[in-house]
Amino acid sequence: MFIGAGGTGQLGFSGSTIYNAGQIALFPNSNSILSGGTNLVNLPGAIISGGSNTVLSVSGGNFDNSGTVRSDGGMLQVSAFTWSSSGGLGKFKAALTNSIMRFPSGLSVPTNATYIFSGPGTTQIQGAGTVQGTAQIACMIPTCSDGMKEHCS
Amino acid sequence: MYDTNLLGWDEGTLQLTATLSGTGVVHVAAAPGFPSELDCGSSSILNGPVINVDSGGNLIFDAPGGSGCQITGGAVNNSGTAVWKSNTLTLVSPGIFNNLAGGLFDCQIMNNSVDGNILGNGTVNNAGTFRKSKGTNAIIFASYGPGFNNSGLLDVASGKVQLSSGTNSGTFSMTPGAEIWFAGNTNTFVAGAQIAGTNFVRVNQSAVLLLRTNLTVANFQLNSGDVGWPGRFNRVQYFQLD
Repeated sequence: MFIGAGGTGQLGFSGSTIYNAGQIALFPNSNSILSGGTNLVNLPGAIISGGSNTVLSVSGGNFDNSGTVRSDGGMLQVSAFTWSSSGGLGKFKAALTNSIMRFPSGLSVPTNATYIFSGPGTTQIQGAGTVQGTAQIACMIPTCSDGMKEHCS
Repeated sequence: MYDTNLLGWDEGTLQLTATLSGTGVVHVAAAPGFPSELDCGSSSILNGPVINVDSGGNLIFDAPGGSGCQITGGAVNNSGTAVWKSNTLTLVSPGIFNNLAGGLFDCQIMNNSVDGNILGNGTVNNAGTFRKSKGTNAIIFASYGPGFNNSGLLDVASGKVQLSSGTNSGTFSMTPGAEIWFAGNTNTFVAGAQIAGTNFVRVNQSAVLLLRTNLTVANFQLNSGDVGWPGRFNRVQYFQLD
């Protein structure tokens, strides 16, 4: 699923639940606002990718991240009204050295869940946050037999 | 092809410029040669979560402009490297900083008049190395401020460190020209405590040194305060009573 195709744009959802079992790609300069109680569920193994001045806002609902949210260069801003991880493990990855994963209004790491913040880029928490579970910075990952890193996604 | 017997490392850097609350854990995961970093920037407040920094992990206190970094609840358990670079550092009870064995707390902050102030009423427990590596002025633990309990090494490599209160069973080390001051509260020296180096240990601002063990000190100045026994000073080369 590609959101914001064609560059600058805004896509809004209201009163829905979006399940992602594959990949949602947020295009550069896109602004995706899930309002009116819309929830976003990023299932285990699923990816939400963006960057280059991209905004993902679950403004009135819950962001259930059990997959990976990834900034592929530039800034990806993510915010949500509430946070959860049904799978118990959610990843936020600043995948390149110039990647910034920003939480402008903070985030909450839910009880009994682990959020991993990793990548050669930077994660920024700029609003008040709560950690009830575990927030882990960096992680071990499997590598391929040729010694190359397999992306932690 | 995956080889699940092989593991790689995906590093991470988290910058905080806000309050972090809760009762969970922030794990700065690392291993020697596999870094990670938690940066506490301007207006950052650690208010509850336990912060565990692995060996190889980095905890940076760098808050140029705005208010400094604060630890107002929870514990920081550092087995890696903590570096204090700028602004004040505030420890408010029940906030506590445990510099564990093998951990390094490196004061690199430099300023005019006073290099850095550690404020509040929390506690630093040092079982690793607490080092002042830069700056010719003082790191000052505020009078009646945070306690500094030393069972490891306080290494004053440059300038001065002024302590307020604490219990000491570890080593205080000074390179030539560096000094350790005690000011404003009670410091107790128990078995194992030692002062290395030939520079001055000074007691100011009505501080009390309570010696529960014998202590060797090369140069000592009692400017304003008391020394309590039953321990005694050994091999004092210079003793000044003002």
